[in-house]
Amino acid sequence: MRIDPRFHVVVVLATASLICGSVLLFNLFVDPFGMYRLFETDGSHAAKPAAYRRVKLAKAYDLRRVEPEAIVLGTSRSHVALRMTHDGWKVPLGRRYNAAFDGATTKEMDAYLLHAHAVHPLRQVVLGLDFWQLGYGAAWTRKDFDPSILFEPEKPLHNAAVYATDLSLLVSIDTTKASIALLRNGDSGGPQWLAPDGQRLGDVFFRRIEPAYSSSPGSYFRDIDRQEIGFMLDTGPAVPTAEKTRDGRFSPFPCVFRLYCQNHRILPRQRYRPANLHNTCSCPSTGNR
Amino acid sequence: MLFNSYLFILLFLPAALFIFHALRSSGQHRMATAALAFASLVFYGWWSVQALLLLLFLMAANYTLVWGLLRSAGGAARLRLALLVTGVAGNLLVLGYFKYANFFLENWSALFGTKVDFVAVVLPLGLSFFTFQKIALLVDAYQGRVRHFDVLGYILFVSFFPQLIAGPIVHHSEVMPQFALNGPMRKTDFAQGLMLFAIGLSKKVLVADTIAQFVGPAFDAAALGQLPSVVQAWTATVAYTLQLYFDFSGYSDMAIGLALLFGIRLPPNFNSPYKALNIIEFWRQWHMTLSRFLRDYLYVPLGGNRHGEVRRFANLLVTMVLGGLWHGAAWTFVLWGALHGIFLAINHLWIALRPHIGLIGPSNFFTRLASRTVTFVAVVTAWVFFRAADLNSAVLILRAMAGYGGHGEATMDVAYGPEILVTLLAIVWFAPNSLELTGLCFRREPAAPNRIRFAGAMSPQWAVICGLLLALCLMSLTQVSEFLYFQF
Repeated sequence: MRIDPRFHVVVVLATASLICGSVLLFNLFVDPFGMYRLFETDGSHAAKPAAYRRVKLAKAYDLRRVEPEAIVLGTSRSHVALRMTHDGWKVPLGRRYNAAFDGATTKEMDAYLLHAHAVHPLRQVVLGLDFWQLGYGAAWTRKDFDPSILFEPEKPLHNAAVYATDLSLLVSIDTTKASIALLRNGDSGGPQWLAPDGQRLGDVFFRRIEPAYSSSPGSYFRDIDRQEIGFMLDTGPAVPTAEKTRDGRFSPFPCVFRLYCQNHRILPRQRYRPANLHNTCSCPSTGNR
Repeated sequence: MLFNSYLFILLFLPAALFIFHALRSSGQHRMATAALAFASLVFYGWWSVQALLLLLFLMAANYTLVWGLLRSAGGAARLRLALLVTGVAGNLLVLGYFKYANFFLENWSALFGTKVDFVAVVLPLGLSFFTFQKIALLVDAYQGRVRHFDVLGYILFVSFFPQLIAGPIVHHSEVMPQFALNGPMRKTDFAQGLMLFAIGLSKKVLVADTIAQFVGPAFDAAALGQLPSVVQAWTATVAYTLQLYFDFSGYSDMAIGLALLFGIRLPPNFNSPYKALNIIEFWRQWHMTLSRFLRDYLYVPLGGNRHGEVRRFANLLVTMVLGGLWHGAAWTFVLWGALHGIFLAINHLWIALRPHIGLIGPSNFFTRLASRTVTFVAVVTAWVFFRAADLNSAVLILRAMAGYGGHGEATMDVAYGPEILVTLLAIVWFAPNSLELTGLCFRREPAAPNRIRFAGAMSPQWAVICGLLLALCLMSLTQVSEFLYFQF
C-alpha cells in the first residue's frame, strides 16, 4: 500500500516521538540513577544501586535538586569522613551537600565547584586535598567525567546544552537498561551507600560484594593501587601541568580555588592529608610531583 | 556540530527547516537561500570561530578570482591564466599548510637528520572537501563552463551544511542552479530525505559504532608491536572494512537526506561498492564524487588514457597516490593509494588480456562469485594500510593475516560477534543499498523500474521502520558514563 508522502513523514515522526516519549517517561518514573527523584512520595531517599557506579552523575543532579549553599569537594576521604550534620557548618542543615567522590581529580573538583555555584550561589566550601594534589599535578579528568551534565556560571549556551544532555540521558539505552534492571532486581535490600546529603556512609564503607575483598582485603587494595597507576599512565599527563586560573594564569589548584572563592564571597576551608600508598606509588610512575 | 548529536537533531535542524520553509512557501526564495546560507555558517562556526573565519576568507578570495575569470571571459589569456594559477595554488597552499605541514617537516627531519619545530595547527573541518569544490569551480570558470553564478548561490555552494564537512563533493553545476529555488518542492523530497537521514543515522550509530569494538584490539596490539593471531587480524580487518563503509556511506546518506529536506538533490556517493566485480567498478561505486573529481580534474588533465598504455598506468598511479594522500598526511595513506593504483592497472591489463587467452564468454554465477571475492579481498587487504597507525603495524597485521601469528582462538570477546559480522557481510553483498531502498536512484537492472522500489518505500510499514530506526538512534546517541574508578 502506498501512502501520501506527507502522511509518511507524519508516521515516521510520530513513531519516533512515541517510542522516545514512552522511554523518557518510563525512565523518569523509575529514575535508576536517582537523577530527579520525582516519584518518592513518602519522602524516603530510595536506594538506587545503579547510581553507586555513576556517583559523578548522581551528585551532579543531586546538586541541582538540593541547591546547597555549602559543599564539600575532595576525594574518597572527604567523601567518607566529612559529616554534613556537623555543627561547624555556617549554613543550615538541608542546604549542605557532600560533592566529593572517590578518586576525584582537582580539575573535576573545580568543575563541580562551578556547577554548584551556577545552580545556587555558595556561601561555604570545604576542600579536601591529598598532599600530592597541592602541586601542579592532576589537572586532568578521568574517562568517566562528563562536563556536559555540569552547569557553568555565565555560560548560557553551554547551560542550554546541559538540558539537551538531560533529555539524551533520559532516553538513552543505558538508562533504560538500568531502569529494567532496577525493576527486576529491586534495590537488593542492602544498606545505602550514599546519604541524601551526599556523604558516603561510613558504616558500610567496607561492605564489599566482590569476592576479591572478602577473601583477601590486602590483595584487593594492591589491585586498586595497580589500577590507579595504570590509569595515570594511561590518561595522566607525562609532564606535570598546571591549572589555569580564570584570569588566564597558571597556578596550583588550591590557589585557583582560593581566588575563585575570594572573588565570589565564598568562605573557603581547605584540608590537606598525607598521600597514601597508591599516591606515593603512582606519583613517580607518572611524573607528577 | 555533528549530525549525530541531540543539538543538531532536536534544535538546529528543526529551526533551520522551519525558517527555510516558512520563507520559501511565502515566495521569498532569496531570503530562504540567505537563511540557509546563514544556518550553514552557524553550523560550521559552532565547531570553531577561527575555522569559520578561514572559510569566509577563502570564500571571499575565491569569489573574487571566479568573478575575475568570468568578467575576463574571451579577454587576456595571460591574466586569466594568472587568476587560475593564483586560485588553485592558493587553495592548495592553505590545504598544504593545515594538513601536510607537519608531515612534510617530519619527513624533512627524518631525511636530513635536522631538528625541526612542528607547526601547531588544527585542520579545519571539511577543508579537504571544500578546497576541491572551489578548485573545480575555478577550473570550470577558466574553461568557460560556469553558467550559473550569483553571490548567494556561491555562498551556499561553498558552505551548504549537509555536505560541508565530509561531502559528497558537489560540482557547482549540480547545486548552484538548485539554490535559486525556482518552483515548489517536489512532493516526495521531504519524505525521502527523512527516510534517508534515518537510514544513514542508523548505519552510523547502530552499525558502525557497534562494530568499531571488533577493530580496535588487533590494530592496537599491532601498534604496540605485537603480532595478532590470524583470526584476530582477519576479524579486525573485515570489521574495519564494514565499519568504514557503514560509517562513511551513513554520513553520505545523512547528507543527501538532509539536503532533500531543503529540496536540494546532492549526487550519490556510494552504490554498494562491495558488490563490485572488479576494482574499476569498485571505484565507480565507492566515494563516487571523489572518484569523479580525481578523474575530471587530475587524471584527465594528466593525459588520461590518451597517450598510450604506459602513460595511462602512470597517470592512474599518480592519481591514486595523490588520492591516498588527500585522505590523510601519512605514508600509510600514500601506500593505500599506490596499492589501488596498482590494482587498477592490473585490472585494465586483465581486461586487455582476456580476449587473447580466450576468456570472452558471458559471465555466470561462479565467475561473478570469483570476481567479487577477489575484488573484496584486494580491497580488504588495502584497508589495512588505511587503518594502521603506521607502516610497521600495517606490516604486522598483514603478516598476521598470512598466518605468521598462529591461529589463535576462534572466539570473540563481543557477544554474537561472528553473527553480527556475517549478517553485515550479507547486507553489503546482497541487500539493496539505502538509495535503492528510498527509491532515489540506482537501477542496477534496466528491467527493474525505479518506481516499484519507490512504492515500497512509501508504504506505512517502511514509515514505521524508519521511525523505529530514528528512535533507536536517538536512544543510542548518549551513553551514560559508568564510574570506571569505582570503589577506590
